[in-house]
Amino acid sequence: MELVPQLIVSGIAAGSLYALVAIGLVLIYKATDIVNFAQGESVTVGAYMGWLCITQFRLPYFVAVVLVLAGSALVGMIVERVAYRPLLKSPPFTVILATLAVGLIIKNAIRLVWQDTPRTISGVFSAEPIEIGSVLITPERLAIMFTVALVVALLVLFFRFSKLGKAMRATAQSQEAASLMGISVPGIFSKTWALGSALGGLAGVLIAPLVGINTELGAVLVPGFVAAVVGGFTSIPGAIVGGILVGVLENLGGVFISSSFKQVVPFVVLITVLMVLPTGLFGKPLRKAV
Amino acid sequence: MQDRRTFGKLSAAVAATMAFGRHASAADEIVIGYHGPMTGPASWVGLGGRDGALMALGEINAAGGVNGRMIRMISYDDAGKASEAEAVAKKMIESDKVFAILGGGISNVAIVVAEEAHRGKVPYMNGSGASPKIMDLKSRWTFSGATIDVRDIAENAAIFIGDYLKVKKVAVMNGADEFSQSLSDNVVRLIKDRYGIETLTRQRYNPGETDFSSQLLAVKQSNPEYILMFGLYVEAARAVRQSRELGIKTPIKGDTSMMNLGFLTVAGAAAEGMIAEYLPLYFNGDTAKDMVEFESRYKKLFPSYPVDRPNYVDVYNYGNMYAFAEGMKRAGKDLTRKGLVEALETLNNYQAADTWPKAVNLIQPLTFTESHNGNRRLSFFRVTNGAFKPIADFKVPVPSTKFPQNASLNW
Amino acid sequence: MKLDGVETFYGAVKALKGVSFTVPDGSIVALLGGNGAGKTTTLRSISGLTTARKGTIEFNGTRIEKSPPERVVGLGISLVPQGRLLFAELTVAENLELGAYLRHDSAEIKRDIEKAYEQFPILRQKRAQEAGTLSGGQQQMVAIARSLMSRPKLLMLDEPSLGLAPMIVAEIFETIRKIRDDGVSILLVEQNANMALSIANFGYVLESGKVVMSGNVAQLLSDPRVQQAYLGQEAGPAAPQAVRH
Ligand SMILES: Nc1ncnc2c1ncn2[C@@H]1O[C@H](COP(=O)(O)OP(=O)(O)OP(=O)(O)O)[C@@H](O)[C@H]1O
Ligand SMILES: [Mg+2]
Repeated sequence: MELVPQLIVSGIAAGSLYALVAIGLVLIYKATDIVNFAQGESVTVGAYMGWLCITQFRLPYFVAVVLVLAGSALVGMIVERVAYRPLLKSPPFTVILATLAVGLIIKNAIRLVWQDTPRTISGVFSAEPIEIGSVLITPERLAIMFTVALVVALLVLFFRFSKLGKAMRATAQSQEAASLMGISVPGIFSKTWALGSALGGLAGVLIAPLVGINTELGAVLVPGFVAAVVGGFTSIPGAIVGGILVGVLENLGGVFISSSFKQVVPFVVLITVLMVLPTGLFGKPLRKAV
Repeated sequence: MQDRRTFGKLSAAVAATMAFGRHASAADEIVIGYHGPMTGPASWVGLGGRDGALMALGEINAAGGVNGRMIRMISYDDAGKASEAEAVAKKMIESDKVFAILGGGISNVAIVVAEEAHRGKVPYMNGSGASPKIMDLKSRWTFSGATIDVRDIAENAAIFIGDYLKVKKVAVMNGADEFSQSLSDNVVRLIKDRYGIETLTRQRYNPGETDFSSQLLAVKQSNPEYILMFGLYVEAARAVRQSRELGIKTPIKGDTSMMNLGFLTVAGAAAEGMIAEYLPLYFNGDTAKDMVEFESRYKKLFPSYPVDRPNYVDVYNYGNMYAFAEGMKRAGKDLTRKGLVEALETLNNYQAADTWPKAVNLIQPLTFTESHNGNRRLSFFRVTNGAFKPIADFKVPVPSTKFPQNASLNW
Repeated sequence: MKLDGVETFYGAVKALKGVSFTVPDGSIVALLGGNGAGKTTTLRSISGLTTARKGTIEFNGTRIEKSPPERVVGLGISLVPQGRLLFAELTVAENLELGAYLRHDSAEIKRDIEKAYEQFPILRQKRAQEAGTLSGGQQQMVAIARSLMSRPKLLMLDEPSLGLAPMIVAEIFETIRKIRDDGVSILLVEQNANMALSIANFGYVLESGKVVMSGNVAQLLSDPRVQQAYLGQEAGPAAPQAVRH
């Protein structure tokens, strides 16, 4: 094993999940100008739903993944309905606090039902490392990275070619113009929150076999958020690069500076990026409509 | 306030206690007060402490009680808050006029109750608090039973590493919380001073972290003989699992916090062979006769409890209640509070089954003849076939820390 | 389409104080008025972007004053908004496709996009470009073409000439007339009254949220007050005058 290549590969593996969480944040932010602080709980909900499907209802993992996508999408729609829509006329800060509150409620509701006892689900792919060149990686991690890449590709196609995807992009740019096209803006919001939340849920069910399931899984919101900001908060490629950057920097910082600073390093990067490039690495200058 | 929320679950226990106590009138019963967090995040501590004690109490009363008198326990929820605990202690002492108090509390709360008990001259058994501050009050009225002082935890671990593992180079990973940090600091210092064991690298992890590749790779790079992990069991479990992903074959020793089913659940097969320490003599599901007996009785008494019960606090207070009862028995017919304290001070290497035929031995033998820290030892376990099994071929000698001698304590 | 006593508020500000007029089928109606007269607000009220608090708006026998924009579009009213409101980061082609959002006849949609490119050949060249990168005139063409993609029965345009070079303005107005000739009714808001009246059949003049004058083009053109206020002329010889409200 060579240290630096291994740190980078492991960092990319971790970062691909941060990226998934970040994309969920970005989609919702682009559409509604709101940072969804309940996104971490989508991850938790996804993991618990996967656990329910697999260990309680004895469904195959792949079926569970599909149900998790649907279920966490529903959670997103509920958050939109209770935290966003009734507060349309409130300042963004209020709405963000509301998403935070909904997240806390979800977390505590889960804790009430299943306590703090962690659960797990067994994954489909092997957790035994294989050696590629000078680095070790498990089929399980490779599968996660592949899934994230696939999802990103599907998302790109969705936004590029599907009617709904185009409508979402249009709404993100001008809600008024979108509604003049006959697009139901509240409907688009609801679907965007559903999509963003489904990505969080997917992250949850993907990571659950590796890290177990408890109510604190939502903490992955933090690196996801940093990833989104580093990537400019308005771009999917930005979120991906941001996620991978955070994963890799955590690893390099953790080893070459100190593990105490591991989680601080991404913040330092964040602040630096914001000072040099206020709109992030991939951000576009604010220009919604001409 | 009296805890009524779990009344349903408790009804079996209450029914059992009442049935055993049927013949006793209020005048000849001994009332013990109990406090612990029964709501909030630490409720598993308070509920465990209560139910383990209730179970022992049922057995004691069924065996005829203490010198012909039945024991009754009244329980209060202190919510894990010092302010709440103070009110609860005052109520137990002043209006309930309890004979003695048993705690199932966390340290910050146990300190407060110990202070109140000292003021009210009521014997107090600290059930599960590990903070040195509890015994540093130097109160003759306060005893620590099954639980262990943190200084002893570090020393037990150091002795085990030096005398049993016999390694010379270790790497340390610890949770960033205060407890894990200070425990690991102490262990690192002790193994260096006593055995010359080198700590090659120290890595920290935070609550909620999901990826430990940087910490683990730094550890791997340092090439230790053993990895010592301290605290935050969910994160530790994730790290243990990930260590195998990164091809780390170095054996791992954890700490008391990792002795739970949740840890094994998350770490999965990667935990096999791992070592950790624990206060009780057995882990849940152990096939030892005493543990099988205890668990089957427990499940009969509390049929609707989740899989992670009985927990270790159940076990502590099962043992503590027997020790309390033994003290009362030894104090004789003319039971006084001072008499109970003096009788408890005669317990030497005491195990419940020594004097109570129905009892099972689940905690370390208790000795109060020199200090009120009844237990100085931990047990060590190795994960074997997915379960924690006691390491039979090693017994830690009594650690060297000098606790205040009984004669120097204040009435 | 018929407005009757429409009152619209922005918070406490009453922007429309009872606006009534009609747009006869197949005609171009010009809505004139100075800055802040309420022209944009009138169009927004029709299209549902702002909701009228009082009064009725009727289109082909359907009351629409409470309808959200997506329903109004569905009924056949399309707005080319002030400032165009293109989807700047979407391509020209995507902008056009979105104009047909409520339609499901994909073959017909393709044909309509072709038609739009025939009408504005420059857009065919630019179809893969982000709309925000186009010139002002080209953007106005996209905006109009996008609105037409919903196959409206009534097309409303809010100051389509604003900020454009005279040659482009002439081209735009020529297009508007062609659209009318294809059978689409037009409600045209303009400050450039000369241009507007040059293609309109009827005109209304708004002042502080009220219709203050109405008439056919000839009447309005010859009205001295209109000439003075909106056509930049001195009062001319007496002629049939527009009705003063
Ligand atoms: N969003 C708004 N909030 C508050 N008041 C508004 C708003 N929009 C317009 N107004 C007010 O309503 C009145 C009518 O405005 P409107 O935009 O309809 O005028 P207009 O005739 O289109 O003007 P212009 O020729 O400048 O476009 C004005 O007094 C304007 O200040
Ligand atoms: Mg206007």
